[in-house]
Amino acid sequence: MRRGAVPTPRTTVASAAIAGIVAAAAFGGAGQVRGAEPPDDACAVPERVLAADGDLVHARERIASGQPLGLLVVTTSRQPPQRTEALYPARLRDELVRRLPGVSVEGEVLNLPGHTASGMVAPMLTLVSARRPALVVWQTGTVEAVRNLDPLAFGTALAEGVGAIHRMGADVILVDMQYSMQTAQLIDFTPYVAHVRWASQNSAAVHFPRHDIMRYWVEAGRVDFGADSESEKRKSFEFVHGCIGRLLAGTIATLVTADATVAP
Amino acid sequence: MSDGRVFLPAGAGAADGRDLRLDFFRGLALWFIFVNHIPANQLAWLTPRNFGLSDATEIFVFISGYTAALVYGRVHERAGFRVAAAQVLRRCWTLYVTYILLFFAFTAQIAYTARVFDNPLFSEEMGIAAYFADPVQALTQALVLKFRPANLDVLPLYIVLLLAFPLILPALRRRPLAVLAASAALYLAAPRLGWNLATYPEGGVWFFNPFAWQFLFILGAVLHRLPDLRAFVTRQNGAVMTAAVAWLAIGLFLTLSWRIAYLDSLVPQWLAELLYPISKTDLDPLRLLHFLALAYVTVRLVPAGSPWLAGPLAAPVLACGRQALHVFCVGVLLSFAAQTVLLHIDGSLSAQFIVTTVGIGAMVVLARVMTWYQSAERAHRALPVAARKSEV
Repeated sequence: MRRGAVPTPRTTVASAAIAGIVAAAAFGGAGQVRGAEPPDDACAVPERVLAADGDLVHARERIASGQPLGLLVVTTSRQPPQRTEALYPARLRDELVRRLPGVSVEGEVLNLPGHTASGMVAPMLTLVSARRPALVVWQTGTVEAVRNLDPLAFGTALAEGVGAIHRMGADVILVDMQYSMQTAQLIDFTPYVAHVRWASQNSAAVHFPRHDIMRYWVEAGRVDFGADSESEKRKSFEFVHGCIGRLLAGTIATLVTADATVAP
Repeated sequence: MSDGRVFLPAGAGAADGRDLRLDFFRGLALWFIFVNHIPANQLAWLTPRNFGLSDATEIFVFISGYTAALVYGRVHERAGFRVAAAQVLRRCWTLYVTYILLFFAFTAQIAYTARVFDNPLFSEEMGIAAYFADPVQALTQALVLKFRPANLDVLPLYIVLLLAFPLILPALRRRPLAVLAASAALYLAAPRLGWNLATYPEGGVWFFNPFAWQFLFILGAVLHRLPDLRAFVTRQNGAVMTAAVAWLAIGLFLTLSWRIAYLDSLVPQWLAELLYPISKTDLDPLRLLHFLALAYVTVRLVPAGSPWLAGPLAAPVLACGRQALHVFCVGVLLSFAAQTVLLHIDGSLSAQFIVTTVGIGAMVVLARVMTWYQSAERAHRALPVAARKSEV
């Protein structure tokens, strides 16, 4: 999908080979003007929480050689199609387009609800080999944490998946689990977050610490997930997806551009 | 100190010859476990898991093994195997009842959260309602310790370790080193053979693998059983001290690097590949080593008869350490209640401080009441039978 294309979310037909894919939806269009954009400073987190660290060598090379930046976002979400535009993958793409002037960003989303990391690997690799993206954003760990699955097996699956994607010539950003006080009372995320961190260190993937970022927002009073009203819930939904998309784009833009030509 | 008294001197610090450091550090571990189990509590930054590879769980399990050998070993010697086994089982029953009680509190919370907390932000990604999809299954699985909400993991570990303890009591008395060797072999083999107990829903495993964690419990028990070995491993030794301090410093750096992105970038990839992952489930050797280094440095820095241990500042911690079982159970309940207060009433920093203080205060009060009750009961039993009858 090219930059500036008609903003209609469409669903690509998943090939029969891609077992278990529930939805493989292309991004919506870029440059759309939306309401309720969170201001930059509301998203901001200190450097101890999020520091753009690592290397996205494949993405950088593609951009340097004038090719489009192919992007694949793999999640465990069960996302209703009418909300696609508000979700962080779409926001990420828009932000990348804004921050990387002159670069064509082509994106795709693969949603695998209910899948463990090891269950995600096969369908993810099938799509990577079919589309050859330069960058894979892999969001995982929620299913393992909810079901108390073995953290070590989770770490092993991450290492396998990241290694395979690297061998296919793409970079990986690992996105960990969400945070809220409510879910943290019922589910212990910490060992799984630790394994995402270690797996990214061991295999030179970039770790995007969504859990710590959301925790920072909650503790700094930027967002309140406990509010009851529908409008408050929608507000926190838009805030989190908008800000995650923005911070993720900021990290990618910083890592793919060696010079200071990135738009703020 | 090579007289074999470095860890448990007779008559030092306590009237009954009990090493006050056992009670103190176990009490402290219980405080840390309470604070750590309130996820929204920022005071949890102050607990040791943020400054080293091992945490309060290691301290608690090790000292529990040590004191289990102390208490039940004595009963075994005086009254025989059957009485010792019966006493252990009675403790297990108390723990189990507590676990079921806690489970119901958690269940109520899960049901409430599933009903109220329907923010699409979370439901789209984790399907929290599915967590409670089959209550009959969840309840029956809970009865056999397989369905376990967050932070209830230490209790089942403690229950199975204690349950197995009578089985090794006779061997511990006769051949403690053989017990230690078998325990070490099991510790090393379990992760390689994939041994762990299962949880519900299908596919889950115990967060604290009992086949691995038993080693720390048995190590504590064997070190109590063999005073000479204890004296040998805790003797003054410059090289060991240097290595221990160095490992603690490395542990501090690594743990901080997980929190501070800049420090993280200083860890070279080859080192990360060598170190990570550090499994808490299987008690990774790096964690075990960190705990042993911490124990060595602590034993050297805090001699058994340290006057401050008998002072007023240590008294509340000691009280909790002495009543470890009850304080631990109440602590788990209190941390759950504290998190609920932070969630539904006030989650501010001052509220976090208040619930932490009130929770620890409640643990101390409970410990003091239990101690008073036990001594009152002992005094009552000491009365002649006629005097007791006339009271009724």
